[in-house]
Amino acid sequence: MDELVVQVRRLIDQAVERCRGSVVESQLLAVRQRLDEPLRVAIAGRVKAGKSTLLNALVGEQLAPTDAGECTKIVTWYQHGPTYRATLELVDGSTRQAPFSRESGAIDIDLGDAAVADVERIVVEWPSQRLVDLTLIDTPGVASINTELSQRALRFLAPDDESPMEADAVVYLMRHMHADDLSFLESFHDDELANASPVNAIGLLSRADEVGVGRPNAMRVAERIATRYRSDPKLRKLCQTVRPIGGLLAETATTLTQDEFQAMEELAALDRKVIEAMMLSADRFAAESSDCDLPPLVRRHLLDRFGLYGVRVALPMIRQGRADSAGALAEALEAKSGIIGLREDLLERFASRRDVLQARSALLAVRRLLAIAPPDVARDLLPEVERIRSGAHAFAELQVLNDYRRGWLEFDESDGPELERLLGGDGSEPTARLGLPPEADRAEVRAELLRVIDKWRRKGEHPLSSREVSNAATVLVRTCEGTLAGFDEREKEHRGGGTSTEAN
Amino acid sequence: MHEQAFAVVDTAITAATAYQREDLADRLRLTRQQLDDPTVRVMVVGEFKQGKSSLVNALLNAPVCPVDDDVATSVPTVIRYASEPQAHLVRRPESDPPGVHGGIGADDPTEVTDPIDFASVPVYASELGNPGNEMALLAVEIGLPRRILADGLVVVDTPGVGGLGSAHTAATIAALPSADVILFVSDASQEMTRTEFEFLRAAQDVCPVTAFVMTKTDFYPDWQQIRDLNANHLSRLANPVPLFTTSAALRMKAIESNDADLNQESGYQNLIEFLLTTATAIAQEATAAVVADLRSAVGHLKGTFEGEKQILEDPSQGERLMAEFTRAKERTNALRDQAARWQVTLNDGVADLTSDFDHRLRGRLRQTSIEAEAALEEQVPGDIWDEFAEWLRRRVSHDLAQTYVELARRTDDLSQDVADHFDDGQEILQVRLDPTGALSKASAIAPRTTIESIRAGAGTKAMTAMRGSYGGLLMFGMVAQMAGLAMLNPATVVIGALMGRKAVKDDRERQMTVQRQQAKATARQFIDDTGFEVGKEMKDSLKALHRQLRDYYQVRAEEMNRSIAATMAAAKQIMASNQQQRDSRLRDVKAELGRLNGLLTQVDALETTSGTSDG
Repeated sequence: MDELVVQVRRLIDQAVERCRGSVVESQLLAVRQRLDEPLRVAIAGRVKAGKSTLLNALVGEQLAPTDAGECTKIVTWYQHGPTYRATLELVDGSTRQAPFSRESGAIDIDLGDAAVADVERIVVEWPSQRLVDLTLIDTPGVASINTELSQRALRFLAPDDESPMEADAVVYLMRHMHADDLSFLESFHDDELANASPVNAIGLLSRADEVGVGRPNAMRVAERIATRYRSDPKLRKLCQTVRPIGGLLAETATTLTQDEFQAMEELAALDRKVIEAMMLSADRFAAESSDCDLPPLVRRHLLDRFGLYGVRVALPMIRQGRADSAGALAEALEAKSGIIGLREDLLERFASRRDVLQARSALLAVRRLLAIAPPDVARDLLPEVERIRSGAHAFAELQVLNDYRRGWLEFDESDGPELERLLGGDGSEPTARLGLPPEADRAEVRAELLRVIDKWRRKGEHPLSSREVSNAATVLVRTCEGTLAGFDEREKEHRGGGTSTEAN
Repeated sequence: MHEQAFAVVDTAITAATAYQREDLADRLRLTRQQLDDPTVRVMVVGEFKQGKSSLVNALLNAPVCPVDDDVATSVPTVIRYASEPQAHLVRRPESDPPGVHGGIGADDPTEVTDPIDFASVPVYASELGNPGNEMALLAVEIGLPRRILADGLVVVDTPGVGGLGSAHTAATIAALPSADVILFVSDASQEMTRTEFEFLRAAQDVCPVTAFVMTKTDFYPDWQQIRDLNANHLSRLANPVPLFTTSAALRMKAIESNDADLNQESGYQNLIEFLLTTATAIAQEATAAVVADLRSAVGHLKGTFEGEKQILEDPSQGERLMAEFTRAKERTNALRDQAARWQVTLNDGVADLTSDFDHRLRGRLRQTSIEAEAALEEQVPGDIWDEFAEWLRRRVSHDLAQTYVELARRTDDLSQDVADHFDDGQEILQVRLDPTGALSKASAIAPRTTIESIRAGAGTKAMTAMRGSYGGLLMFGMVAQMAGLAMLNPATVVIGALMGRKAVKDDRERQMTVQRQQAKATARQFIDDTGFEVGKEMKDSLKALHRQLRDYYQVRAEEMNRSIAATMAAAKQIMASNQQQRDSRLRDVKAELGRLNGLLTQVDALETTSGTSDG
């Protein structure tokens, strides 16, 4: 896979060399630089879907300001950097540093004399370990009552045909599936190269803790709903998977303080009757009360942080001793929120495809730039672009995955899931690809690989297979052979007692 | 007050019959029928999962609408008063093809109802037992012994709009025009979205009374802030929309524990008050119409006697009055005439509307045709056909709706113009274009052929999803607005966004050209067919409107003519009679006038008492 990035980088170097001094040069350099940057994940969704809350949960700090009203108005990038810094990029192309303050955690950026409409984007640099591998992009909500804001999000996520999408992957938050969500997901179906879309999008059923207005089984119901969406053909062809997430719970879990935990402990120690009366409504929870020593302001703070549902699930945990410290409570809430699975998705599914996705974006960008480069450069280099495109097995894999997701491949029931698995849908380990338990012994793995290769080869050669299926089968056979080769390689090292330098 | 109104109308009918004015009696009988239906229909609408069913349940304190965290309502539930709890399914007769329906719960004689067990309502009304309303039910009707319903309040819980299946949206919007009050439900988790705002705006066009209900206030700590944001958005609407904040959970708890404070907190008290006040106001409006009819009829009766009285009191004026009556008779005769000026105004007006309609519809369809072809030029028809076909249907429906709305505004003006030719010019027939015919035609036409998909093996989907789900005309425009608010943008943008960008593969180029031609031809054919059929239907409904207006004003002219004729006949008789006869007749006439004035007083009383004694 690195091979691919190397090829693309070499191509860009060549292009830069040939375009020295022209306007294209700086843009090409920017493209190359992007190859070295972390994966860019955009967080998108309807208004108030919980985008900023999720971003905070992923970073583990309350960075993005959140509010009951519509809040995010400008596309904001959160990336790793050596110092804390916020930069405004204005519509006219100029940039400037912006002073910012932190109020109750969240960053408050001072736009100065710039109007919201003048700011193209804000880049926040933050020294955070969690941002090293991922650059997160917060976007304004779609279907906002403020049309201008919606347009901004759309422009960013689904730019016109000419320019590639700036994000490598998209996490799409929705509450219950809405027709707006569907058409939006459809709209950022990326353009041609590899026809990628389902592979770089994850759907999230957000604010899952609010399903059922805070009944204790909310997350389970949310999981049931997500499962249903996962199998919905309309959604299947738009995103890789759908999972439920309790954003607020996750955010609070990753940023829980000792004070907050102590306040919760105090609540847990209250008489059952008293606490039940308080839990009737949010208003009552935060109202003056003679039965509870916690000041209303503190209770109100807890409400903002946990939500009624969060309080409802956390109190029994504390009472039953399952969460006896802030750390334990955070862990339990984190597990409940579904954020752990999402992180895995991002770091494994996306990050393992990162090079392919980035190479793909870069290649797209180069091709676009060549169109405005001097004609002779374009003539010489465009064939190279095409060569890399058609030669890269990784692109072919993406293509097959997409074809399948879109329902272009006619398969037996069981073949589809197998195809996704073989292409690394469940992880790139040979056992994961084959659907075997991780502890499966080597001979078994090898035998299974050979069986699968044989099966797909026959499918590919079968006269009745359609062209699309033959293509897919050929790609799969190559993938499996690659896996087999890597597997044998490792085997050899293992036997030869080699050091732990893993192949690839 | 109802009995009072009936009594007065009955007296007036008796009087009209006694004075041999069967024409007036007939009109009053129609009035009486209107009085018979005191229903005030409250429709609860909103996006799915906003707590509509919970709201209805809490409002009526009965678990009538199925509530679930995941499964949504799939069939409208109509709840009205009954002395015993009962439930019925409403469906179309088997033989009747799915077509147009006048609106949820409308009393359509072609519907069939089956009684069902009260407890099994959720099976029929929700996605659980009836996904996507596969049982093709029109509604589930429920009767409940609740005081709040006793005065004719009917509550309708609707499937949420904006979900994955657009059929729900269509069905709900189709029913909106039949509502007297719309309760728009949105929960306190966030301020209203653009889609919701647009829906509300469209709803205002079809229903005069719209209220915004913000639910789940117990669960969201920031509900007050959301309420203020919403109030701000609502203030941008043309008509004022009251905002209510409610919590079904608190209300249920309050009823359970009989806790007045909690009930106050739940916000239902205000909502119920609003509903009852609105119901009274609507009843008052109905009374006002009845009163106007009564005044007009009694006025006709009185007019004859008053003419008689004038001559009797001062016979010397007889000649002059007689001449005046003759002139009036000539005028009314002229009104009855085919060539009367109001007839000309009416004929010209309808002709204008017809040609204008034709012109506008054609212009719109032509634009649609151009945009559709441009879109097909840029896309792979096989890939996008399903979406494209649906877009096209919606777009054409939108064209139709838009044209209709423009026309509808002008029909009232026409009615006023005609009324101006009459002496008083007061009684104006409020007419409405009946779009149902055109709509059923529009929804019955499907693109004739489905473009074979070029993707391997994937079957072609029939374009039946949207068929038969349309009802009211206005919904078309609204469906369009709901469909991503996109209809006002150039089609290429819409389709681009709707269908994603799919690239053209080189080796498919040739196949594509053939397919593209086929797709374009199909789209053109569809637009032509729709234009033809719908054009015919719309013209028919304009004709119906023409007849309706003509008959109405013809009858008015007839009434006036009979009144003046009766006056003249009486006058002639008086001229021929002697003093003694005249004296006795004057006494009679004064007595009759006294009786009619008494009746008028009763009519006036109706107006002042209505509302106060109601409820």
